[in-house]
Amino acid sequence: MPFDALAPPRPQPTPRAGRRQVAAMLLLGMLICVSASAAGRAVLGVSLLADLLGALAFACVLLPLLVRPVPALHAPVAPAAPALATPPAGLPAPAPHAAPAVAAELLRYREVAGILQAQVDNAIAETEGAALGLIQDLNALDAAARELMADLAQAEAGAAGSNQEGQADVESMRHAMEALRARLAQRAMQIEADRTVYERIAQEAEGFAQAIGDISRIATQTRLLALNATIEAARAGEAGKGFAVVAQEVRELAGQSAKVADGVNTGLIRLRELMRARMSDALDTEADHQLLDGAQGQAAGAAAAFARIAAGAGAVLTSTGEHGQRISGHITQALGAMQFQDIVRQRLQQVAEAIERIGLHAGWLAEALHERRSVESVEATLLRRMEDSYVMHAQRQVHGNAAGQAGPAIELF
Amino acid sequence: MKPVMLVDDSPTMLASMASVLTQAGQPVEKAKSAEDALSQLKSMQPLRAMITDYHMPGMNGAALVREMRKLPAYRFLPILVLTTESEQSKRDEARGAGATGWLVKPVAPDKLLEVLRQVAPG
Repeated sequence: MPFDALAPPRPQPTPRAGRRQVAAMLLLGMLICVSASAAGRAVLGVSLLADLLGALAFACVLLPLLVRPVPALHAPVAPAAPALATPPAGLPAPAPHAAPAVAAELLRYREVAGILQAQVDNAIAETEGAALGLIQDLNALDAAARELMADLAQAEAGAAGSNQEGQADVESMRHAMEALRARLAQRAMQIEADRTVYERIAQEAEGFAQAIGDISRIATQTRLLALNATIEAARAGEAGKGFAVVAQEVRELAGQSAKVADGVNTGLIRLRELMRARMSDALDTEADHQLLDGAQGQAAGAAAAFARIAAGAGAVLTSTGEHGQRISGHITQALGAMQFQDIVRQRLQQVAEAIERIGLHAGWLAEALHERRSVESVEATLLRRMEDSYVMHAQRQVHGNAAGQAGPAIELF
Repeated sequence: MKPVMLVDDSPTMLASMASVLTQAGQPVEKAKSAEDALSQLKSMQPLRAMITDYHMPGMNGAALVREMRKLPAYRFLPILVLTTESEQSKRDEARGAGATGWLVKPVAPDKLLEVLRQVAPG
């Protein structure tokens, strides 16, 4: 902002300078120090501290100079000059030769004010750049968090689907095993029925074996009888030749009967062995049941483990999703907190304008020293203008003139 | 959803508030001054609401509200003034100009969204 825009109407020379003038100078020096110090603490950091300490030292040097009598200030143009001849209680009188040096130094305050203002402007620009960078990063972070939550939701849905499919598979397996168990039970009943039949057949076969033994014995006896008939036929000579032939036939038939009986007996033995083997196979169904029980138990254990894993994964996904929601909420709060930069910017701009006015005022004081004009008061030139420039309740509070309470932060008309 | 127009000379405020609203699923249009806002409105789809700063170079927020109320399309548009200003006279000026509400910076994002839902449902 140009100096001219801030400049109030030039002060007209007045006869009164005196103690008010000295006090105004002192107050100006201290105000510069305080304002610059505040700005330095708020914005520029430690590097400016030395400059501010220098300004403070200058004000301290200025104090003994100004409180001494300055004849130039009490020239005829200032009828009320005797006020300066009476320095404030406890202060020595101003030194008369100090006025030109003081004026020269005061003129440099414009330079100091310009530097400070540039520093503040630079700090505002830096905070704005940093705030915009932070907002950009927060937006990127929020986008990543939202993407993560979308992935988690997808994973959660997938896990739930897999869990349902797994449970369905396990249920299907359980049904298959139950069907197999029923089938085995049915088969066991069939085997038991077969066993009864086989035992009856075995008993019948045993009866056949005895009959076949009888047939074999009869065949042996018949063969012996045929042999005796052959002997008796030989003994009868020519008359027994025909009977000898019959006896021979009977003996051969007896031999054939014995062979048939042996064959039937052999068949019965094989039949019993087959039935025994079949009954032995039937006994193995008990082992099948045991295997089935084991498999069913393992399947149930696997299903339970699967359910536990799915539940654990679901809990992790849910918890992670909740964390993501909280992160997103914090990001939103942080984005809202970026308003601080605008608030700080406005306060710093107000400080910068005050610094500018201080420099301007210092120039007027220097001119007043040279031209023996009256001095525009700090009250009118600085303090009131500062008050007029405030927009925030906090600014007025700092200044100590906040009237009443601030209105509600949110008001709907 | 109709957009909310943000009017503020501070780039930080525009970016911050735009991010808050966008994250809530609210489309946003931005203007860096009252004059810029009025210019954009000539070729813009209907708005859900407007949130404007008070102190801006050129036309201030209250004057913008006054100009908006002259336009038939925006006579009843909810307009919130979001500002650091605490002076009651400025607040009264905005109310007289036809503003819907007054919010003092900094405003919490959830409060801003709540007020927006209140003055501009849907």
